[in-house]
Amino acid sequence: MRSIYRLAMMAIAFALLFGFLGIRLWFLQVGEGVASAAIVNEEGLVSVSSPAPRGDIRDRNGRLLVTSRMVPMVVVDRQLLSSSQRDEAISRLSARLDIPSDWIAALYEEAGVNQRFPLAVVDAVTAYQLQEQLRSFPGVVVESHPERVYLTGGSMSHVIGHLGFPSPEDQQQRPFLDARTRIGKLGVEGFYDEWLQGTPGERVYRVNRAGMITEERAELLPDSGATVYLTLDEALQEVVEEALVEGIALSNLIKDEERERPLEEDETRAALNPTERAAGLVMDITNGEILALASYPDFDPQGFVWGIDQSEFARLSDAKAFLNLAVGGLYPPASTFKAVTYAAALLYDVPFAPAIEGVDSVNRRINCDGELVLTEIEEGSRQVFRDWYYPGELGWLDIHGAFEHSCNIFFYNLALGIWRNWGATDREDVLQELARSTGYGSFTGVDLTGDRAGVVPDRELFESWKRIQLEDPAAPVRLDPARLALASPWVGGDLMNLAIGQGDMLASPLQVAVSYGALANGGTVWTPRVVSQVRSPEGELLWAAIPESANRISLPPSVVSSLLADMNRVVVSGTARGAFSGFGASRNLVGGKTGTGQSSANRDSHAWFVGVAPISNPKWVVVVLVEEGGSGGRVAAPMGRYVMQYLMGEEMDPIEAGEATD
Amino acid sequence: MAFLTRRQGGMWMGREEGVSRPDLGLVSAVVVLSGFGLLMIYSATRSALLRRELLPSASTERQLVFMLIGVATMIVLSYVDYRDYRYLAPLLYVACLGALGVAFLFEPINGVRRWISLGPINVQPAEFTKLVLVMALASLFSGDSEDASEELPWKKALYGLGLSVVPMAMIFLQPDLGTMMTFPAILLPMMFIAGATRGQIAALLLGAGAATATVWRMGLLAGHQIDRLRVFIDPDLDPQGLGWSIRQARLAISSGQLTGQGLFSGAITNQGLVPEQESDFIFTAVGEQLGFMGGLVVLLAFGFVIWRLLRIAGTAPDQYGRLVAAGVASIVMFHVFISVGMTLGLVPITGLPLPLLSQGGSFYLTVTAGVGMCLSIWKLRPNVGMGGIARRRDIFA
Repeated sequence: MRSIYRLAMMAIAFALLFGFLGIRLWFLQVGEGVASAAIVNEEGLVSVSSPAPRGDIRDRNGRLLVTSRMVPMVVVDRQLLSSSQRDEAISRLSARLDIPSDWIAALYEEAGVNQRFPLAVVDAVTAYQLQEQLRSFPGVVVESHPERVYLTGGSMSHVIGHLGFPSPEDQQQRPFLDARTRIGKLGVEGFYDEWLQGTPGERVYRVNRAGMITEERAELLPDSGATVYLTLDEALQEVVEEALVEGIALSNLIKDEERERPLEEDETRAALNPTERAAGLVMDITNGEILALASYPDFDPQGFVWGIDQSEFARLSDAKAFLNLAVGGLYPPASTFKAVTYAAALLYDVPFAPAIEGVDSVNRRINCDGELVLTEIEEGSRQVFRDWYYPGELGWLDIHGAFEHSCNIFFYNLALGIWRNWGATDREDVLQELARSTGYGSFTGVDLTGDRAGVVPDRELFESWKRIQLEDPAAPVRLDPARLALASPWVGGDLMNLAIGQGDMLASPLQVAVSYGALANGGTVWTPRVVSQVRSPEGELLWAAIPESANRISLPPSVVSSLLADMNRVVVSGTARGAFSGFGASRNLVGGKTGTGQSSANRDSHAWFVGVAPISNPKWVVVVLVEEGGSGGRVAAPMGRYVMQYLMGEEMDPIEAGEATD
Repeated sequence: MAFLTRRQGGMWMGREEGVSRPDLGLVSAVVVLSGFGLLMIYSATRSALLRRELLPSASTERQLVFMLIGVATMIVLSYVDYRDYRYLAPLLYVACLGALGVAFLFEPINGVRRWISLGPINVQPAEFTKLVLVMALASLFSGDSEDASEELPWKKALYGLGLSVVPMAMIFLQPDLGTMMTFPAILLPMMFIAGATRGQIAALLLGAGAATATVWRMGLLAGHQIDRLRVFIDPDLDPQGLGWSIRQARLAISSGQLTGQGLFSGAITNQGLVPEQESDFIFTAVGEQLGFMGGLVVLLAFGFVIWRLLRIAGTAPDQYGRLVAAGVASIVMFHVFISVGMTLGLVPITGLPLPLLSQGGSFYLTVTAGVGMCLSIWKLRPNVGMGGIARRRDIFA
């Protein structure tokens, strides 16, 4: 058979190929082996990686916010140091650079035999002097090293973020991270780390016993990271940050006065804790771009570049400076939530509850006399509800007046209407459903770390809390134990609380902005974002953000225009009129809503203000929150006004107390 | 005497041949070489991973997964009659060309459009194309006729050339010269076994020479490919680039001397500083750590594998099976020769993996699948149970 014969020929040919390999192997290993082994054993193979400069961060107008520069770094190369020189070299370096010698010794041991380790960044003069005296500093090399530079100081720190060593979780997610190279930890530095990082370079060479490089591989140069462009505007950011600082000062000033004021009869003094924290943001509601976002207290990311001091870190941590309150701070949205209740009332034609004193169902008006007294017993709910202006009176108001003056009683009645007419049916959740469809209760999807979902309470949530509480006595107590006996722990009073954004409702300032954005732009719930594009260091476009909507709801234009008109009434003649009295000519083009959120007992209320402008064609939503800052109308509204004056091109008046309203 | 009774159960005729045990020697050689490969990958990647404070066995564990999938594929294919999916060869061939095209849509890695990225793994369609080309050529050359003494008709020889040239051209564009050269290394021996005439072989070689000259003259080779050839001739031309790799590989191997520097004691490969030493340059890790003795054992193991594959070709029940086995043997032989040869400075650096030892999934699966098909051919050989002499006589007939 011919093919069998040919197979045999093939086998012979293959055997010859193996023969070649075997003979070559013999000559290489046994022939040249001794000489090669001598080289390999005499000389060391060294790999040195050079870190890549991280990419720049610029604002929407291209203004440089964060960059990297090359600085002199003192590196110790153990390859160049014999063990007898070790102690002297360390003590000399310690004296010259003012670094404890035991610290240098620890780094020395950690690096390992023949390895190198970076010791310290030095100024140009020290670098020059060291270069001149290298003879007296054996093993020392001065190299150029990239250093992160934050031109912004503490400004924008929560958006920009900071650097730090990868945590075990980071390494889990990105297995090829080098544990000794700092990565972005928070904000854009963290979220866009893979763009900003760049690729480190590498040198590989062979050195002999005398420390001479005998051969070297071509150096792989480091590649800088890409430039990230923010949607934020540095000038507007400055205005928002000023507003936060001034607002906190204003709140503390008011509290100081309050402490001095003699109490009236039956009056108990508010907690009057020092005001320390605030958050604010401006979002473009036509596309979800965040134009400014600030949280106070802030921190200077420069401190993290070469590792932050432990006590400084602890101090900032205790002050909660690393929390981005605008994104991850959860508060009862309070009266700012009335916009959702208001829209629900118009959308679903919520009927009033029958037979309650002070209700004019025909004209859909309520007597806002400061007190709502429920004559029949409602399980689990209190019978007398006092409004914020009690013992004052606002008179008979329709939904527009109730929104303008933030009359809680009106919105309680809407909740009662839902509860009594639609309770225990599939319509009992209309309020929650509208809230959720505008972004409450779910992650905003913002491209920042620390995004939180918040809580929109409903029957299902309360029943799950009840189950957990009954099954696990060690679980945190969420519900009053008295409620556990009820058939359903969700009662009418809870819905009444929700209607005014209180009770268990929790939202971040960013969620409030997204929700107002959707109500004001006709129903598009934008996914907010802080980065618009990524470019290579040479300017080539690598990635561009596309506006993304998380949801779209259908809102009749009549509801939108009615809400915007009533928001304008709030700043002209409603709860924010004091703060906006000197706004300027464009006051009829802006709208707002104040809010005063009750937190727990012994704590002061959170001050809220939400603004929308221009109301003829809404473009911006402004949200300001002062944690335990007091009254929304008095503290937050003047801050919002300050930012909106800037946006509308008005002359900006200093932040002074507004009227003490809800 | 189980194998005797099986023989009586039915023989020779069509699908009724007896079924014997698989070639356990071949299976063991594959498993032992793969396991040895894991050890070499671990020794070559450990310190580079440790330097980055990562799990030192990360790369090895990944390869272990490929090994388990590959060995499972081999065992499954050994139980499937290799003729049952012969009709799929054209389909698989077209699918491979499609996949090679798709690879062009992905971002190049190191400047080469060689991979299809599927989340955590990158697939190299060119590797699978090697085995599929073997199936396609075997199918084409064997036709329906079982008369193997026939000469290969010119028409079939030209079709075979066409089948090989299309993927070669696509791989040339990736560009990946080493992988491209695998295809003539498959075509030529398969044509030879299929009964190619002297004229056909001469024409093929002349054509290849002419094509090479054309490519060279028209400047179609990428700069780095020309550099590789020039540096191969004179390593001092680029002492810091390619010359560095060649020199380090050679230093590593030769410093192994007769018995090696010892496992994990290789000054070069254990530091993880020779480029690609866990994949294409894995033989440097063998040579440095285990010396001439270790290298020789590895070469002998590959020699054993190839001998077994050729034996399967010799005893195959039909021409299709014979050509498949010869094709798989050619794939293994070519890769062993180039991959080992380039670390020894015998051939230019082209970047081909060492079968079963090198890190990487696509080629590992290709080799184990090919061996699996051959095991099936072995089990269905017509002279089961006729004893060693008969089989041997068959080969040297």
